[in-house]
Amino acid sequence: MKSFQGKTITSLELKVIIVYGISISLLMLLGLLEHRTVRRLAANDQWVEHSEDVLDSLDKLLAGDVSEESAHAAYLAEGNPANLASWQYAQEGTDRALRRVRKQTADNPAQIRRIDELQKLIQEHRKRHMGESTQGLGNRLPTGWSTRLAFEHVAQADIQNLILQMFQEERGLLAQRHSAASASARRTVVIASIGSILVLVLLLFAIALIHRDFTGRRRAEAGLHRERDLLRALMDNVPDMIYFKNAKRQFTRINRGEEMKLGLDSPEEAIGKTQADFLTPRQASLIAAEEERILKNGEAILANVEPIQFADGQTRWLSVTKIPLKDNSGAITGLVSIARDISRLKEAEEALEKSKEELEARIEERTSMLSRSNEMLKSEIEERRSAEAALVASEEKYRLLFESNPNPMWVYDAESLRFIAVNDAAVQRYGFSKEEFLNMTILEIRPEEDREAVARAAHEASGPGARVGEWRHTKKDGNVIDVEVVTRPVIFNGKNGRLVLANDVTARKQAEAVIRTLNQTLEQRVLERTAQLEAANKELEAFSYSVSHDLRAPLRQVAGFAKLLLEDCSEQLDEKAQHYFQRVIEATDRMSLLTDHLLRLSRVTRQELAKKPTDLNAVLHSAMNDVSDGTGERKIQWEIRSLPVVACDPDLVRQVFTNLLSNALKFTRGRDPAVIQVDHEGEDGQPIIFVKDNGVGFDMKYAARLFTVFQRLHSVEEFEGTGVGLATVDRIIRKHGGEVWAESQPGKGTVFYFTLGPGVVQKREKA
Amino acid sequence: MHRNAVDILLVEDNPADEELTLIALRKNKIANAIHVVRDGEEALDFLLCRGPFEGRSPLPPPRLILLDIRLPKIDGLEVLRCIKQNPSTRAIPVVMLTSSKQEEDVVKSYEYGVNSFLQKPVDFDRFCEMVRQAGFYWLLVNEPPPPEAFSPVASC
Repeated sequence: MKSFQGKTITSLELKVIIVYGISISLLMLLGLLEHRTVRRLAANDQWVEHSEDVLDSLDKLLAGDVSEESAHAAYLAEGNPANLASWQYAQEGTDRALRRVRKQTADNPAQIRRIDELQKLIQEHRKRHMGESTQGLGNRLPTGWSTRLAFEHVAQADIQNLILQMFQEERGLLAQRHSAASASARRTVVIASIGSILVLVLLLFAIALIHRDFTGRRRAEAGLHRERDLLRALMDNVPDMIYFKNAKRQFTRINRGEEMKLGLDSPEEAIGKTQADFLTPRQASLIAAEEERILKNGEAILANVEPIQFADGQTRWLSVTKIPLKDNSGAITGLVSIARDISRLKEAEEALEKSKEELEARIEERTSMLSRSNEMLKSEIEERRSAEAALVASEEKYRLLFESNPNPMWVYDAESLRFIAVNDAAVQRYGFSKEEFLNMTILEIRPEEDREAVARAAHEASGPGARVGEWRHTKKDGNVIDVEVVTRPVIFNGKNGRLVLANDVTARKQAEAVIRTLNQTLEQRVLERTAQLEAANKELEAFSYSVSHDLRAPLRQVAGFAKLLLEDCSEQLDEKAQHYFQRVIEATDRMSLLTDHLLRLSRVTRQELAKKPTDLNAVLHSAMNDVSDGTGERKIQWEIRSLPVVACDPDLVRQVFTNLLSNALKFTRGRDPAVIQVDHEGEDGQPIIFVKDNGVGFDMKYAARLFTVFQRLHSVEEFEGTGVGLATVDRIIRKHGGEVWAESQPGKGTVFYFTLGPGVVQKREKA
Repeated sequence: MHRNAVDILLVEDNPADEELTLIALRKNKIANAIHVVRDGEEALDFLLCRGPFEGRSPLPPPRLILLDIRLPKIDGLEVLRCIKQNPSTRAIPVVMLTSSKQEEDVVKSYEYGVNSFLQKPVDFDRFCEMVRQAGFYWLLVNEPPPPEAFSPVASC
């Protein structure tokens, strides 16, 4: 096939065109030839005619000459002027014929020459005639006429002869031209015949060609039919979805696959419709836009992967190929779409993609791990290298250090445990010579019972760092010494070795043993003391039990019988006896009080602290309730400020407040009003709490005895009391780790300060 | 009332205390039939009708037992435990009357099922008042256990 101005021309057509072209050219050539022949024939005819005209003119010339001659002769003869006129007229006729001949034979130089000669002859002739006429006029027959006539005849014959020559010339030309024309006509006939035959042959050839082509076409058409059937079968049986559309995007043909995609019962249902009739508007509009582009631009879509929603609602991934269809002129007439369901492939692809991503992530992770460990390895190698370099550099220094070290040092083989090198100090201390050492293993300088443990430890030790251990070594003289051994792995002469530095610590060990013994004794003594204390505590408990039970019983009996004496036997007792018995009863009361207070004190001592965050305000108020009984008519001005929350044992702290408040109440007796202030200083959490009164106060020189049991600063007559209350306060505060102290001025009042935790007072003193 | 009937069993080893207690009871007109025993063993013999008290009718039981803690032979707390464990005696109201206020003794007494715990005050007037209130309460106010509350005598 060959493209030619946008058309496709088969070789056959080309052949036929060529044959036709040749035929037409031949025909035209023939026509031209014939036309030329005809024209030539016509020209020949003209020439023949011309020749005949020339001949005719020559005839007339001849005739004119004759008539001129005769007219002149007549004129001469008769002298008649009329004859002169006809002579002149004949002359004019001759001239006219002569001019005509000259004109007609202008192309023939031979004839022109002849004419010129003829004209000259005629002119001479006429001149002679003119002369004769003027002499002889009136004389009918001039003298000498006959001679002049004879001469006349000769001249006349020359002219005529010349004309005759011209006649012959023209006749020869005419015959020549006749024969040329007939030869040309004959040639033309031959050429035309040959050309016609050639054209006929060519036409026959063309017909043969066309016939052959028709046969081929019929065969091709049959083939085409077969192929169309094949295509149809193919279309309906491939799993792909195929449709054809016209320029309006209407289906012109769809296959079974497409039919399923659109959800149709037969392919014919789709004809003339578009996707908009079957698919969702969105899907249809997408397809429409795509196909509009194809129809407009003629660009094909090749294996475009897109998700398509099927009529059944499922979305599948399709690989879509759409190709515009064109007619012979190249105009787009429609399109064909071939789509393949690649959902499986897509899923597989996505799975692959995902696993690829995972793989990549893992590879990345692994890579970063590797690079990290690589970095570490590098730096480790670097370290090792620099360490090695340093080692080499300082090897000499180390050797010196080794040899001259005051402590015994040696290197032994890590495998065989044999000594490889020993320093002088080792030789000196252990008594073995260097040679003896080098023939021994490290086990041989150990007591028999240690050897197994040493061998085990030596083989287990493989770490890079130094190890420190305490061992026993045996000298050559059999003495066993305690040593502190520092072992470090070394490469010695290419062998895996251990560098050992042994430090004799026998003396230290002995000192330690002494200390240990002392410690043990001390512990024993502590245990003993503790047991003693525990026993004392038990005794104290038994004592307080006795106080509460065994001592109270006789006391009660004394009090009871004294009372009975006073009540039942008062008549027998005089006033003095009654007074004494009264004293006995008072003494028993006081003793009862003392035992009660002592018991309370001992209970405080033994009681376990139950510390918890306590609102001191609540504790204070409950203590105030305890002590306000019996204040009766007294005017008391309480100045109570808000107290913080403190970690303490609320029961015991309540006893503190009770004792301090009852003290304050007691010693303000007689004050009007009694002013009792409770407040605190310092931060929450560990404040200093104080109880201040405007009571009698005391001399500060007795302050040290204030908190001792049974110590009293006032007489019983002045202020009752057992001297146990403040001692109890002191015990409770000390149990809390706090401190209690007092500031007082006689007659002005007393302030008791206390804290409930350690460290507060020191801080305060510093401040 | 039965001839042998005992209203109060006083367990007290100290004669002075015994005398003071009796005086206090008498002063408060609680001079009912009072039997005094000197130690724990004697107290249990009396209650369980054994030894020197063999043949004594366990019924009617004493209406109140006043029990000291410190006693010869058998300790007061042990006596209390036996009384309260024995079906023939456990319904009898027992009041500890003692000089001790030791927490341990108080706890033990209640653990063994004591009906009341009284500490003897040193002051005689207050002691008299206490005895008066206890006698008044246990012998007059309180509804005594019926005879059905006592099963036959069994050994402790």
